[in-house]
Amino acid sequence: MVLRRAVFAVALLVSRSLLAQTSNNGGPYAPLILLLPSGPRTLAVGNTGVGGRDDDVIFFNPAQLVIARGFSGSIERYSATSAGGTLSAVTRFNTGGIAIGMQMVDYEAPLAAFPPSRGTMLEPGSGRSLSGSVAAGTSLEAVVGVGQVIKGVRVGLAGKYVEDNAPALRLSRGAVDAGVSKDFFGPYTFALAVQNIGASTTIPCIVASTPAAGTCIVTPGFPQPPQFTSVRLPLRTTFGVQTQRPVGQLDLMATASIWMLRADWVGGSGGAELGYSWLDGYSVALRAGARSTLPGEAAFTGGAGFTMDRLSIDYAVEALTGSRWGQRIGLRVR
Amino acid sequence: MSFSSSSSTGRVLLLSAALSACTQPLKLTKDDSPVVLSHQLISAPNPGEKGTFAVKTLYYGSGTDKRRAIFKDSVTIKTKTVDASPFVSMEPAQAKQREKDWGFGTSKFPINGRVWYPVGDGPFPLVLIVHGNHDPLDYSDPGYGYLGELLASRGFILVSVDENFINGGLRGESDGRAWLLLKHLEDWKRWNDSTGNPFYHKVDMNNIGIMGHSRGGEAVGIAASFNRLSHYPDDANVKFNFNFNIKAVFAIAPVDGQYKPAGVFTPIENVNYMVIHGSHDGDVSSFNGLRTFQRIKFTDGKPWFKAAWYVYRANHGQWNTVWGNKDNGPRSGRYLDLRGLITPDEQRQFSKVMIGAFLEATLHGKNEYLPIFRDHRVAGAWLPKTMYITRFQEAGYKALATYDEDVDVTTGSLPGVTISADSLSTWKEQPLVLRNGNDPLNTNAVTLGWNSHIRGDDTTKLGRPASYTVTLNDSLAGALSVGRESSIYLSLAPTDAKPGPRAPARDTTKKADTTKKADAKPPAKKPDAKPAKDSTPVDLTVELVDAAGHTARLPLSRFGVPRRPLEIHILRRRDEEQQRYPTQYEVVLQTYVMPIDEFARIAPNFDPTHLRSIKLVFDRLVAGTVIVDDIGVSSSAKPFVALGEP
Repeated sequence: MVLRRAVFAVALLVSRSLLAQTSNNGGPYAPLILLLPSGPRTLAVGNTGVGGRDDDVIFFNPAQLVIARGFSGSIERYSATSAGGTLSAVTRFNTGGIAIGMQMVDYEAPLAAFPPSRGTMLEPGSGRSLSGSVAAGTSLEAVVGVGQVIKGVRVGLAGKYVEDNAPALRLSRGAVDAGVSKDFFGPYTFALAVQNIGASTTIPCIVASTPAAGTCIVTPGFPQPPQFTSVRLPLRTTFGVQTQRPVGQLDLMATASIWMLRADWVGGSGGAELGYSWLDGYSVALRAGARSTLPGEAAFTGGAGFTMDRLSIDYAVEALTGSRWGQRIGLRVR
Repeated sequence: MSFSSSSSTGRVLLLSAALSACTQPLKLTKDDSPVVLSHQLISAPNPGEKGTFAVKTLYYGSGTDKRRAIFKDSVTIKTKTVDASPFVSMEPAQAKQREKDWGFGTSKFPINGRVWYPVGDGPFPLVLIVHGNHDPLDYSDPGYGYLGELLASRGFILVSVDENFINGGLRGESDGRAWLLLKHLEDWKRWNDSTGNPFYHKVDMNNIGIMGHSRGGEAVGIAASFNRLSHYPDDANVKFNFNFNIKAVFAIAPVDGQYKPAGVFTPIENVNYMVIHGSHDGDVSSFNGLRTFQRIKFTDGKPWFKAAWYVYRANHGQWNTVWGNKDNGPRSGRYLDLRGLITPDEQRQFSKVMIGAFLEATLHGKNEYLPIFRDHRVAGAWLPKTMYITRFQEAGYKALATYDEDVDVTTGSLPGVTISADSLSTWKEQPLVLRNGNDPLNTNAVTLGWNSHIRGDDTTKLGRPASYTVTLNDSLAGALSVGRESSIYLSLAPTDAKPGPRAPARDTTKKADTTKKADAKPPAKKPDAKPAKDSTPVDLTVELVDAAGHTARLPLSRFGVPRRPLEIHILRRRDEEQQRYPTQYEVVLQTYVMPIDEFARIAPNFDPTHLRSIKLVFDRLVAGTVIVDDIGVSSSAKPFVALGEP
């Protein structure tokens, strides 16, 4: 019943949001880290992880921590001047699991534009801010989550600290993720997550709309009285389904989700993984996915994985704007 | 370019080597079958070959099965459904789903069977075979067609019973599988008595056999037990009135103990029983049927017998043509090592020979096939070339030492039996367990280890051979009526353990000297706690002694092959194999039935009628360890030993 109501609510919001799609995706959003991929396996299937079963599901849906186990780490190179990494671990707790996670990105940008987007972070930091400093920054997220089974439904909650640290400005926030999930019709996991629940803020800037819509140039100590612009936490509501089943001698995992940024932007993502095991405990997998794009992103993703007992090595590639490719590699231990 | 090509080839080879390193190399015990199976003493026709009868087939069924058109549209005889709800229980959701899938619930189980029958007047013995648990939609009942063709041509009616509708994720339904078999027999009795029925007066209801595979293998034992009961043990309000003349029970790779009436293993009495099991069974990976074999009792004085055969390199599924070689489903080749298996044809050739021989002997009364159950070497030409370990016992067997009664290692199983040992390094009684380690066989055995070497510098110095003696007192020997026609029973399995050299005998002529000598040698190194693995062939001497002290001695190997444990690797990965199984072998004792007449022939002074002791003398191998159980005598084994040994 809870899930049915949730689906109904999401459907309402989606239909409303589809009518209200804006060119800037409802942004500007900050911190940047909340808009970046978190794991190679999920990234390869269109950055879809709301129904995932790996430990990095803490970045997608804390409800799935009930069944996720292990720990993992991954790094991604987005461009010559930007790279990031993720660490996460989950272990058994009561009727479910408890997890910690951390991710961080280090980037340069052409101008000290704030907040940065996936697009601006791809550019080399050749430009300098008006004060002359190099336009580099970091963005990080630290999260603790717990998932439990309540009346047969997996329920999860995660609290996080997020921060954008640009030369001219440091923005930090606390936020909360919540999620539910349940298996239906056998191997189908239906999941709903609301992420990044928290207060938005305003930041001082001197030019309200340069260099891109929704961003501004921040110059502390600039003699003019600053202007202010609103920066929003990327409140994201995601509903997805994931299934895993044998197909002949192969293992198929398919996943899809529909998501909403605030009530202003609706996107979707999905992908599939085809695995083959020739020996118990050993397998290889090929993955492909697609997604609705945010600034800086292109639609297609893909990847591969190799599992050797409890250890997995995963690789993912994502298409980015300007014919760039982000490449992510990770290690997972179950 | 060439450099690049060779480099990538190298990488591929390296990767292949790295990946294949995860799989263990194929390991099998060296096959001795070319020698062991090089004789054929039985001159009767091969029971695994077709007989003279023309064969016809038909189906009978209740017509309620949505999934099985052949049991609806193709039936010659329509059957009534039966209410199996007291025997098969399931969760409401599961019951609902199954009713939707199959078109009926537990209260309306169909009586479906496919029949192979000989063309002729009969009456023909009736044999039912039932499959075990498997994918319910991968129908199991056609998989015994090869037995149907064979047995019908040899004058049996074979029914492959359909119980696919209780396959899948059910537990505790084995009694239901058994009860269904008996309900089939009720219909057969009615058809045999009904004029106009195709089987009117064609069924020999005095000679009935039931066979089962896997869970069906346990079910046939339960059916044999239920057949003689008046009430269902789990609910006495359900009354039984079967009492069929079930004379033969054959279990193929059965489970055991999934159903326990009143919390005990199903007691089975007074039937001929045979169980076969493959060493490389990837589903029922321990020889569970051995426990069933152990507990079968013969109490009514009739000439029953029981046999258990362990077939090296056979698996679980190849007994059924539908199931195939992947014992845990189509994807189980990922972890099951299939390389060591004998071929499906070889495995089924074995089942044809043994099922044929068993049914010919028990239902057709053809005693010429009996010797194969006592010593398989008499039928070397019929059996596929692999190794077999066999257990056997007939109703005349009287146990002298089963090691199950008490903790006194010097007493036997009957009053008047005493046990002694000399110079043994190991002498202990302990329970036998199945390969998975935590499943007891519910029987104890004695472990005997010896090493004739004397500890010291002289490595060639041997002591007196160790021995183990079972002695009968005068009155017991007379009561057992032992004579020249009798046979000695012994079940034995060598192990890999090799005790260290024995301590030298103390020199009692020297005075004790408590002073420490300056030039005293350092104390001898303590023998390793873990004995070294030994692979030399094991043999020992069996010595019979009469009241006057006359002895008769023959090597044990004359009566069978004493083999070290057969190495088993079911899984492809060595680490998983070692993690799952404490040992890489199953301890299966070989039964040796030794006619006393053969001892008397080589020692004319020996008087079998005054047998006083049975002595195992460990004089044919310097060091070794054996597990021994079920030492006894019988005066009714003659039909089984009539052909002697090859």
